[in-house]
Amino acid sequence: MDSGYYAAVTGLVARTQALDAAAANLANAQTPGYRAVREYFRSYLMDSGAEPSQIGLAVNRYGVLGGDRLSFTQGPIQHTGNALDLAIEGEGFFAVNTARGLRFTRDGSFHRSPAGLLVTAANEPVLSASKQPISIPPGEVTVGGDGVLSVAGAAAETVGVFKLPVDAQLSAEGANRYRAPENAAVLASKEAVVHAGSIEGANQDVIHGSLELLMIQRQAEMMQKALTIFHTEFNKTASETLPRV
Amino acid sequence: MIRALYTAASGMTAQQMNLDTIANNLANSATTGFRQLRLQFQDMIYQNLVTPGAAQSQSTVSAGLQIGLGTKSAATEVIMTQGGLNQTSNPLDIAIEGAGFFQVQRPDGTIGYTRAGQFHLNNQGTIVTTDGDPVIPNITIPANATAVTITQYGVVNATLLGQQNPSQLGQLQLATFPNAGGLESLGANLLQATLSSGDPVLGNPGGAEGLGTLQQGYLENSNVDVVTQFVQMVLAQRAYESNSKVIKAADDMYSQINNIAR
Repeated sequence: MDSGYYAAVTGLVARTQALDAAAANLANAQTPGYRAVREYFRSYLMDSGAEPSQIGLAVNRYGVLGGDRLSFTQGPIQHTGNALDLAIEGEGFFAVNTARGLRFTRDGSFHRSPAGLLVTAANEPVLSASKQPISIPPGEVTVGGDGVLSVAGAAAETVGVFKLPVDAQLSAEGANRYRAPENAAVLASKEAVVHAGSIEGANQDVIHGSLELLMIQRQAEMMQKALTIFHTEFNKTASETLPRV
Repeated sequence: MIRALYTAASGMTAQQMNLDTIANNLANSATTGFRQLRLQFQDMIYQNLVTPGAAQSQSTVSAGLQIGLGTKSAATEVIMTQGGLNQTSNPLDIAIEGAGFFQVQRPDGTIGYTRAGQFHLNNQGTIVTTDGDPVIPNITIPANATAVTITQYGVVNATLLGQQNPSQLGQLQLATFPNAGGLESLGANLLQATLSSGDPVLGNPGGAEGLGTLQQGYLENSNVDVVTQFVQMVLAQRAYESNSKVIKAADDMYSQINNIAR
């Protein structure tokens, strides 16, 4: 009986964490290149005694928030008109050289720094296909679908679009940047298309975000009902009725 | 869950600021030479409840449990596309076709940059902006001059009294920046150079610097795309609404938890 009580508590805690994740997704619904976080629940086997019975296994599996994964589906591509706003269609990331090392981003709101480098809004150099900072000579800039950056019609550099192995888990760092595990192989993404003059929006749409919110809310309600039943029906009966028997 | 409340609040604040930016763009949709702004958002830091890639007793955690803490507005980006040209036939209305800016001597001695070529003459005959700030380089048109023409390369010519042929009175210059999006808006159609925009590169219109050419008798409209701004406004409104739903959901869950023990 008590294990059921704690299972419901664990479930409720997991739903509150899921609510936090859903809130972050909705708050970032307009953040360029934001990748939505999809949480998943996993059962947690408590009390694995010496001889776990089938009943024990079923009763003592708690649903906890197992973790979350970034969803890498495509976000909408919005036209901005700035020549150096770049959006990636397909798999891949832009590589950015930050003070803390190589980071990846899908937020292509880049511009030319006073020193003539292609940089992010935080003034960090964006890397070329050969992982070097990209310097842009003065003149009118155009970027082609293959990432080739031309100045006044003459090809200058190629903006690098990279992908990581499937098993490399990217972790979000904030400021629209993602960190790859150390010593992960960074490969060139050949299938990605770069759209100049556009920005990729978040891949979190408001409809799904709201549905998720509703679902979490209902599930939390169920956990709360379960807790109330355990509390009022079982514990109360045990404490109030039994002594009179 | 207390995180969800603050996260949603960050989303609402950001959307409010987004709406402010959109309102300003729409209000200036008829301002000569105005450049529309776009608010950029960033996700905030993440709380690592389980660090991805951390070693557990037997295996590495394949995916962590990271919970984001919301959004923040990071920067406003000036969208530098060309605005449409509007014919006025006023000889001192000049539009720039290209990336350049006119330089204006401000009363405090600093130099402002503008795309609004609504120029006039002051009482000395010098070319000035609507606010009376002289255009750099200073060009004075004598009172007896007629038929003022400005070529697409910025040469100012006029026919002086008693002369047959027009004489050259000056040469207009334009400026560009390594990062024009980093200019600071001062209001009154003026922009100011900043560390992020870099130092101005000066040149004559039509030169190799990509400054663009001039069109006499035209004004450049703002580059505000009203339809897109309306779409952005609807999106901002809906995003604001969904964040407020999160606050409601978090509040409901709180009250349920408070009611567990009845």
